[in-house]
Amino acid sequence: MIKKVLTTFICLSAPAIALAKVEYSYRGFLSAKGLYYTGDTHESQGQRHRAQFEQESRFSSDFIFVNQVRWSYSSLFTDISSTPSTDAKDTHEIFLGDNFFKYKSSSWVLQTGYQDVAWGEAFGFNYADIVNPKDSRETFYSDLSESRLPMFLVNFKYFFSDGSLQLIYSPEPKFSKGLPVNIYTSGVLTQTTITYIKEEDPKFFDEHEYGGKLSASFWGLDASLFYYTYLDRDPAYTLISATMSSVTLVESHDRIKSTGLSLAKTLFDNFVFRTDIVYTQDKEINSLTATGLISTPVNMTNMVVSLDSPTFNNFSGALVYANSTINEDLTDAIREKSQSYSIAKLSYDFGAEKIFDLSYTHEWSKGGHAVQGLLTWPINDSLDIRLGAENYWGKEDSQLYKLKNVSNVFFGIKNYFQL
Amino acid sequence: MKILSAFSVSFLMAANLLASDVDPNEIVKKADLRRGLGNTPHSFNVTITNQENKKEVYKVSFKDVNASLTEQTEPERARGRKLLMKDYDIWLYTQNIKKPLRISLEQKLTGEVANGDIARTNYAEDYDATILGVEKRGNNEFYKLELKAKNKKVTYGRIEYFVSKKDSIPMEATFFALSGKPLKRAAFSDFKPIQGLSRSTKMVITDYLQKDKVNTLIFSDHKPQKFDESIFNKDRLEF
Repeated sequence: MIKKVLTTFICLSAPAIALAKVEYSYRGFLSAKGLYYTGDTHESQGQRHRAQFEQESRFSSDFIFVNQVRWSYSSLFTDISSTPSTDAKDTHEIFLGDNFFKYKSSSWVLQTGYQDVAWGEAFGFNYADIVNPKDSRETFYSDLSESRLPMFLVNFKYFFSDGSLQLIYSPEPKFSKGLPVNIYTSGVLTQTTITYIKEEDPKFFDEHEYGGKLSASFWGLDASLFYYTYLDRDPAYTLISATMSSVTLVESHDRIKSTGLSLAKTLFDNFVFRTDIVYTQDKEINSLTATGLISTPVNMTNMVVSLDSPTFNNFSGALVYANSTINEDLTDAIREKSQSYSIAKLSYDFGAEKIFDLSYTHEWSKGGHAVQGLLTWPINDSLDIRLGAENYWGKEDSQLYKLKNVSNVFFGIKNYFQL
Repeated sequence: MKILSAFSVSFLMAANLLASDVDPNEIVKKADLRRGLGNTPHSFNVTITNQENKKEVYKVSFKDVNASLTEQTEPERARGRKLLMKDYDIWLYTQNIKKPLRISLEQKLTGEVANGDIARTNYAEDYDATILGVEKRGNNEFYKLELKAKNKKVTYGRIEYFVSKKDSIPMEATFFALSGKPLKRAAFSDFKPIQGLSRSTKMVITDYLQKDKVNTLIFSDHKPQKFDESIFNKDRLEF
């Protein structure tokens, strides 16, 4: 893996290095985070450390290479289930971050290489953020720039008056990274060891993903329509073998198609309304039937609406409502036909980018709850500290209760540098 | 007796002023040209230093009063943060979110230094002026002007503005919210020749209630510049 990253990094940055009259800049960050798990975990302490190094090579204001390498160490995957898991191990990962070249003309941009493409207007539930896979081990309070995993894309955008047309193509789909299955089954299969066989990311040109987005702004409204055909970022499972003491599952990621609409509108000058509606076809959903674990393709509709409040005495807030519905009736599915959540978020701005965020998430159908608090406190121009806590609880069959072992308090420090 | 005499001088000055054909909006327009390149397409840099010596650097692309783009280049944590103001719309882009985010109109006022202080420096285009009087400070006479917001897209509801009678050099301003609440005071200084005219390159902003909150804005690298229309397209912010 390290060899692949180094080779790709050198290949992508070679043209920049080879040519003269290029302006180089170097920057990055180092971050460390210590966590104390407050749930019923096998281990109570965890760590996450990260580093990122970026070289930007500027041939002109319109032609730029960006080469980025990321490193992460995590013990989150180690063991936050109630019982020891077979996949328990610390992870060191070195992978390519943003690695692309960008060419800009007056009316279009072409950006090719490993990059992020973020769609959608709403926050809290990023149903429209479908292009990049995510590191879902990061839970809710992670920077999107850290949980989004860059993928190789040919990204073309054409601009017209107050709008744009974007076309994207990927020859190398990638899958999201999830928490160990034991997290979700610890309350049910306490004496059973669960092993799951991951599906490897497809090789270059083995699979293809493509789609586009049409955006326009008018009458104080931002609107975009998008379509993307891709491999499901999340796995469906097939049961391979099962005994009283062990279960073996194999992952699969099938092709799905998403069509969506995003809107954002300023209301009464100081409120902002946002919504994303995404219709996904052929998503595989697991059901636990008398014959075993099966998966069935269904169509789903996901919708999120939110309202940002104005700032009053340095306080600001947002209300979010999200719903995910399986359009067909699926008996014995491992998730409910309809899942609804609400989020109430309050922020206090101390000034100089010192911010306290507090949010409460309520899961309507099964009575799950989550509370998260985060204090971000820049110490100086290059150093931030973060202090936070997240707690998940509720009825045992709720989705948020399943995350109870992720409940933690944490302290983090992040240092930015520029060479 | 002293009070009566000062009142008489002010009254005579005001009477004299009313008798003359002084256009307050022209005074503001001339004063604007002493603080920037006016309502013409240009770019400039702004360096802000606060009372804790923390520094922020912005690059501003100003097309006209209806379109401006501000990009933060320092500190490193905020590098690449962009704010696009276009008519009544404002979008924010950050490296973390990686998409343009529509934000409310009030966001132009957020922070000890408002986004409007950086990118909307043409008062003549945004406010209607009236002359409240003339005040003598030292050996110079200054118009005391009241600037009222023409519409909601401007940064402040009202500004009290002191401009030199002799050469339209701005001296100080007090900014008020739409509610009428005083927010902050600004003093203009460090006049330097830029594009053939002596213009202010320094603005010191002091919070009206918390006097220890002081931000110093240094304006530099003013250049007339023509921009591609697409740089003011919110979908281009991510590039």
